[in-house]
Amino acid sequence: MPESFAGITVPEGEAGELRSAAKALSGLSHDLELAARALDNQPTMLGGWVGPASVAYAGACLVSSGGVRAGASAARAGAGALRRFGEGLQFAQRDARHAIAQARDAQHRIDRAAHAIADARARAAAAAARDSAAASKIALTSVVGVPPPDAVAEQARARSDAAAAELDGAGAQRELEEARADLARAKAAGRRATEHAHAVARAAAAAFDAASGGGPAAGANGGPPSGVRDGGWVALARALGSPLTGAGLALITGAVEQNLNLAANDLRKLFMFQGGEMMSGGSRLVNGRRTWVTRYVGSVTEEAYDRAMKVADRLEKVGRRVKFAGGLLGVVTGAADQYSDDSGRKDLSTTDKVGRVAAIGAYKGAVSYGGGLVGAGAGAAYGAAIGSAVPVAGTAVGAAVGAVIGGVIGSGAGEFIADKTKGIPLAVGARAANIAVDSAKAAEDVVKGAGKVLDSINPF
Amino acid sequence: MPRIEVQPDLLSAGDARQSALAAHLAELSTQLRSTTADAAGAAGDGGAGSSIAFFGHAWSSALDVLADTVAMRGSNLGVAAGAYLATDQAVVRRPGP
Repeated sequence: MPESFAGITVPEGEAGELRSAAKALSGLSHDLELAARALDNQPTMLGGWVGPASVAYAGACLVSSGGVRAGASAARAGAGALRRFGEGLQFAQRDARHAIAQARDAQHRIDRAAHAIADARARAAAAAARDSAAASKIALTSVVGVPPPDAVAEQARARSDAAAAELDGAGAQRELEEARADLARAKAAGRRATEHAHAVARAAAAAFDAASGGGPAAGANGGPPSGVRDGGWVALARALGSPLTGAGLALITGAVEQNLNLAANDLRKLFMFQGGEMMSGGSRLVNGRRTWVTRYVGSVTEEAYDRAMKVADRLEKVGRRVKFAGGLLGVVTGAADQYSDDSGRKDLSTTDKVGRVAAIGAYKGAVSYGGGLVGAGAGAAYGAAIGSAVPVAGTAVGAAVGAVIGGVIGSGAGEFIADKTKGIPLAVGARAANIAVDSAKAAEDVVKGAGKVLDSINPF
Repeated sequence: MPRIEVQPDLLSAGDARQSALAAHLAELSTQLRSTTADAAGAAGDGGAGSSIAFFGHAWSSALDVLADTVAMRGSNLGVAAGAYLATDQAVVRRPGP
């Protein structure tokens, strides 16, 4: 169970093991690079071997070394991501433990102050009772002459004790309020530590996803499949010429969403670093460098931090809306394209055309849009990972370029898939439309037909 | 027909080197899988563990494929060396006209 107090929990994870794994991955990267060089050298170690086979052999060695080198590069990227993750997690755990210690201290002071307030109230009540008793005795004796001196003295002591109790109670109340404020600050610091841990985990996940996506295939085969690559360039030309296609929309909205998300993450990370430093009373800068946050905000306040978190949330929300709108438009434009293709055909009835538009348009638009989004996501993450060598600006530029390239490749792949498989929704869509118009009995047929289609594409 | 020159013994040596490289790649693949599995276990609950594990699986699989490819290429080299020798010896043994 992770250490926890007052709603503050130390983020889970073994920072030391992550750093050890980073070192191991770095070593692996070095070994893979050496293996790649050894493969590069193989063709030169066969004496004067001349002939078609020697040329093929040399080419194959170079392809393999390219794959191994890509693995070395991925391992290097993974090592960097693990190192940053380990360091960030260690900071977050340290801050959370510090916050827990502060919260425990504050809670102890709260309990002590509450006890002191109760004690002061009890003393004040006892003093008031003694004061009252002494006052009664004085009142009774005043009828017959001089009040007894001991009663007068007791009344004076009781009033003095009451005043002292009131003073102590007021002091304890102040201490209680201060301790409660300290507890609230400790909880806020704990919350920031948790958010920081989540941010570094997300960054590590994105870096590993980027290093996994496309890399192994490229490594094993010496480059991405040529069909996808060519399709990507074709999609780029199409997207640039006609942005309102599923591919174009995926390209644009995917890039916009990715960049907004990355900007939000950057903002969070920068403020979290600043927030952590602020809480520990230091003034060090992010990665030892002055950032745009320190330039424009100066010393970070709680209010500035809260504002930054809200801005980051809004950026992500806008990104999600842009993506949704892009998807909707992609489906609509996909349907419009199909209608444009079918409108002049005499061999199709109106019902056929409606069914085809509904099925193929939506299908093609959605598939190419989805492919674009996946590609843009992977591309942006990969680009951001490359660009992160230069903080913020490099990340943003890398993400933008990566998103565009990834979107192009992804949308090209999506369109390729949609084109190759559009026969299924075409048949199902046209048939479904006719059946819906014709009769209820025919509906049974289409269910069977759809079942056969599904059976035919089920690989299991 | 293009010109062919060959030193079969060097091809045989190349076979051994490729086999050794393939074994080394397979070993590195195992190390990668093990390292990333450890890192995934140490990642905590932030969601990075699955990405790290997938990375390790994807790349170690790719390296396994590369190791197999390199091993097969080495084997082909050995077979080629044998074939060159056999062809040459067959010509020497062939009776003259």
